[in-house]
Amino acid sequence: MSPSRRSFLWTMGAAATAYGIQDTTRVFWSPEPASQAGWTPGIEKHLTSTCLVCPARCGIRGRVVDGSLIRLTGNSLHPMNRGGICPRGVAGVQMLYHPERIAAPLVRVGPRGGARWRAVSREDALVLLLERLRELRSAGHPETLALLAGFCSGTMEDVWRQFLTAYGSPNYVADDYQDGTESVMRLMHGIDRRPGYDLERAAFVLSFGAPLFESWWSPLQAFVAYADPDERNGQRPRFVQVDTRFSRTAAQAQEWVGIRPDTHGVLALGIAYVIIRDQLYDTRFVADHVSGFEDSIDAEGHLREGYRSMVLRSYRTEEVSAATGVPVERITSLARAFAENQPAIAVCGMDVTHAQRGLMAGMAVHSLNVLMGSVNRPGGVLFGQDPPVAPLVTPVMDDTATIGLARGPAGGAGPQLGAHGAANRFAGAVVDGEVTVDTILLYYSNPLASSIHPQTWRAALARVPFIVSFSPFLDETTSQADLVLPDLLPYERWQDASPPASYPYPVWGLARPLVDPGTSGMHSGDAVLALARQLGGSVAESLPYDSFETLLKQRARGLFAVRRGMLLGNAFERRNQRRMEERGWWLAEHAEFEPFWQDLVERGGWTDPFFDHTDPARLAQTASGRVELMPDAFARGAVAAGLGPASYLALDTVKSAASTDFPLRLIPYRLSTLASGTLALERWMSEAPSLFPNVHWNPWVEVHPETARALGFHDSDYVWVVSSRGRIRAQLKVFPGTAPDNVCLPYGLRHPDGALANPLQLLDGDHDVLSGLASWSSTFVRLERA
Amino acid sequence: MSSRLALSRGFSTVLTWLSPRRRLVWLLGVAVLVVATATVLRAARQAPVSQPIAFNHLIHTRDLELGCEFCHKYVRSGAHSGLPDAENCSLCHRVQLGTSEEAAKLTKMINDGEPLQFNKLFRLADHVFYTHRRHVGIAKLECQNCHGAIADTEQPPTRPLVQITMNLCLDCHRKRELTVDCNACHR
Amino acid sequence: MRERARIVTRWGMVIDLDRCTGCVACEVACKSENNIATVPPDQAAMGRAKSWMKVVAEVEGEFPDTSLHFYPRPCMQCDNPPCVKVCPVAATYINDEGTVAQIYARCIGCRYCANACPYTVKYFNWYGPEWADSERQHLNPDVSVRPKGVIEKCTFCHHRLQQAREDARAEGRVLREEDYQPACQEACPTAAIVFGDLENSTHRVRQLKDDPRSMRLMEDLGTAPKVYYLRPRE
Repeated sequence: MSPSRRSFLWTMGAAATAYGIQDTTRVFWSPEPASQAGWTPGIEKHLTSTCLVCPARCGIRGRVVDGSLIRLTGNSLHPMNRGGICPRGVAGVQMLYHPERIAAPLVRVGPRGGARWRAVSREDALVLLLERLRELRSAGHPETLALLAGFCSGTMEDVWRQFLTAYGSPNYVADDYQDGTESVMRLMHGIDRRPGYDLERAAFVLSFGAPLFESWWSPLQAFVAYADPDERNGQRPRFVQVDTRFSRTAAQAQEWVGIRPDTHGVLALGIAYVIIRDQLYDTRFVADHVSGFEDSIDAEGHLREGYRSMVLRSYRTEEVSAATGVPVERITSLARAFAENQPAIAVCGMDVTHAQRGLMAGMAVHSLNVLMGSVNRPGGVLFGQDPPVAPLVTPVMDDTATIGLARGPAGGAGPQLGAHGAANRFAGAVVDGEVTVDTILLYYSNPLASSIHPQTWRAALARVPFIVSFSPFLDETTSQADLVLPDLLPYERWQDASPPASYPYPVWGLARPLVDPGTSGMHSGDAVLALARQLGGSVAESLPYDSFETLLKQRARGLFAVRRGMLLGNAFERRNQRRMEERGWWLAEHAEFEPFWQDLVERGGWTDPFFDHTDPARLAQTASGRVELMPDAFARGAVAAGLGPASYLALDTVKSAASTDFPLRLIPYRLSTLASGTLALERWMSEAPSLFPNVHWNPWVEVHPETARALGFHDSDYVWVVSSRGRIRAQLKVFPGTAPDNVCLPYGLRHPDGALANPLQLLDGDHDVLSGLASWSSTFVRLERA
Repeated sequence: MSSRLALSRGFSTVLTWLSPRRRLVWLLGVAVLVVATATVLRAARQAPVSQPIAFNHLIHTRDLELGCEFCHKYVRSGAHSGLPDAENCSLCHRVQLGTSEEAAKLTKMINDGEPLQFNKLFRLADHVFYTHRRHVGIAKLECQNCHGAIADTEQPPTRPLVQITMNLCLDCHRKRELTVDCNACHR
Repeated sequence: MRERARIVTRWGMVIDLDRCTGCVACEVACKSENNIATVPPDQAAMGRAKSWMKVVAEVEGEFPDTSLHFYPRPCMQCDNPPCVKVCPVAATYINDEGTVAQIYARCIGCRYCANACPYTVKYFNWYGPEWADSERQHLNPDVSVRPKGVIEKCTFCHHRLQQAREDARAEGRVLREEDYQPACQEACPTAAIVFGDLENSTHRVRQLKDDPRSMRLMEDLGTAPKVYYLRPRE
């Protein structure tokens, strides 16, 4: 049967339609590549560096594809973090490519804070600053230059200090993380350094409010001790968390001891009471290395009560239990566990020292370590040393500089027993007109957002004619600046970055550019060196370095020459090195400096895994050569501060109480995931800042379910947290881990509009007169519907 | 379900409304329209690719016996095979070679420091993840498997010599008993 | 291919809850590795934030006798996946190595699978991803950027398996256990996440999944997840 004309046409038509439709679907369902124009070969590099996002300074590795930073992971050779990384470290890629980054140096146009800027070249911006600096010096007033140094350590700090010294300004004002423990150590050990904790070798870690797994000096150090203690055959120390709220650290510790705010020191002495009563302390260590334990007769023949008598007299478990809210049996069992699981460490957190009697409480906590001899021995408190890098040249000071320096720092030296709160004293001195400041340099400092006294700072900045910020983001304080010289971001710059003192072994970590820095910013270190060069004379002589990179390389020569330590290596290499150094051996890996430097850059830094526990200078450098349990300096300082002849053992002298207006106690705390307001927040972090499932992009306040019910609030309601000094809008989260009479407000969060919600700005301004640190948990608030 | 029913009912209504002769005319009309639209869209979909230099593959591959990798540097190691840049060409063309106008143009471009950017001819959709490394570097496939006789062209083609479709990939994968897991290419 | 698949491979994960500290490094590492975009605050408040790996916290008791348990929750990669059964277009399916894949180009966005999943680990793109131009630079070129209207989920970082296989072949060796690690495992600072082939007796997951502390989520549903949890020790 031959096909008819009609059926043939039918078939042809159908086939054509089908073909056409098939083709259209391909057009519609396969969108063309967006990246039509260019192509990239996908060439990949993995580079080692050091994280500069928080003070922990972990080793990192970056995956760079065709010049873009794609991923950040931990550097497995770094002895502190051993390949681990925290969420903020991972999110660093979003900081590097943050859309709000300042694209070029800016000069203010129009009124201050008016957000109108003119972009200038880096050279022009430097010239503007340079002219100002020249004028101040030629007018004979170099001391009117001040630096507010927030997040500043290592060579960057050395360069700033050297610059100010040679220039003639005594106003290096530190505005950084402080926990006051260096004051405790200075008083008791004569060593002015924050303590290191050998968590990894410890059998028992009793943490007094230290957020070990969240926002401690180095959470990664605690993570390694928790999960990977290769020094103790994989056996994990027992972690016990004493905390006012049920924190994430408390959740993951084997035991949580809920405690009333500001009573950490009392509990520590209650534990000391049981240890002394039951004769559980290290009698040999106390006899050989400690003074002030027993009663004594002083030179004038007066009886001086010792630590033992005072503790036994004043800190009976029943009284301690009543003060702290911890049951008597719990105190006894804690004391026994602490004494029997040696080596044990008592860690002093920021909650302890940020109190009206903070310094005393810090000393009380540390006295537990002294009682058990847990100092300068494996698994105890260790005093680390800085890495032995080559020093900068000796600063040269001309007459102008000498005169300027002699005028002394603005705001005075501060309290006798702890020079904290320098930034606030500085601001106060400027507002009161005690000092004149012409030019202020902001280096990773954002006091308008992060300070406890933003109003004072606002007034102080209004009195400063010229404000220069080195911030790469237009934060609150930078918005008030007259000139912005944006620093390069982490991952773009050379910097040395050593772990915090809590890690007791010296590490010289090196951060190096992972990506090409481009033209938007300028390395602040290079900017300072250029300023010094162009100021000429003694300032130039004091900083004779071409660039920050060459300066770092020069400093590494100290490590090359020191004949100890090693470049970063794996666990086997570290152990091997330590065993060799224990026996007094050291083998040179590199004969020349150049390959040493190349290898150092490749591996990410230098470390020395050997700790000399036999060195008595690492136990005490007091006049007596012994650890002072009852330091004379403290007694003198207490008298000078108007506390009378108090001992730090008289802890229960301050009471703060709720009122009908402000019935709830405010507990501010720092979040692991977030910064202090000087670096931009990454979107990933803002979207999911906590473990609360429905908190996004918002500050929140944690309230006990009963309290919320009594006040008529529901979960996720918006409330104002009101104190006598201000209020913060936050989302209410019902959380049964909060004590019924407390509310907990995390620090470091921003509202969706970018404003920082800083609970510290609600504080009543109480502070420890001995150390200068603000009291964090003596403020009371109420909740109002928003 | 009900919507499908309504659709087929509507379709049969249209069919009964049209006389058999009209049906045919309509069908042919629709067919022509669809093909025309498809052709236009297809043309819009991939515009003819032009190159800055009328590169002669044949001379380079047959007469000079240069391997593909000489200019497509990443063909064994990268996701993309790479296209030559001025630096690549300048290895030979810094001085005038041969007599052709294009060679003269190239030498002038190189010596004037003008950037030279060849345009990509073969493209895959965004949701296809392909690497040359896997196919050329490891599986040792010949280039003409997917690119046809590109090495024998004397003028740069404006359209791909081979339409690389999923079927082209799958045929080869089935023949060689390789993975046909969707996830191998789409992720 | 089917002949070659005689050596059975089933990729699986063991998460040691005793080691997990809830730091969420895994979450962020996953987002960075897999180009997971954030959603605007109002969308996030509606529960539309995406997190292929999500650390879930459960609180028990009240102050001062509170306890909190975390469990990081990726796609369970079920051997008997409910999501696959309901997909009308075969955009989600289980492959020869047991990984439940999601083919974005096929997905029609009906969200049946998201509703079928008892673990709620399938995420729908209600809007297109919002990346600033500068942020596009950190996107991983090995993973697609999902458009509006498709479902996305954890893939066990499948692209890394392909990369690892490619590397192994290029070096002429077999694939080793440590070659293929998902981003969450790589980032975990306490090594709580272990990943490997559940059928290979030399892999750690094989031993750990038979640990007495081992359990799976909602086992009674018969989904047969390939993500195992080790209960906390105390």
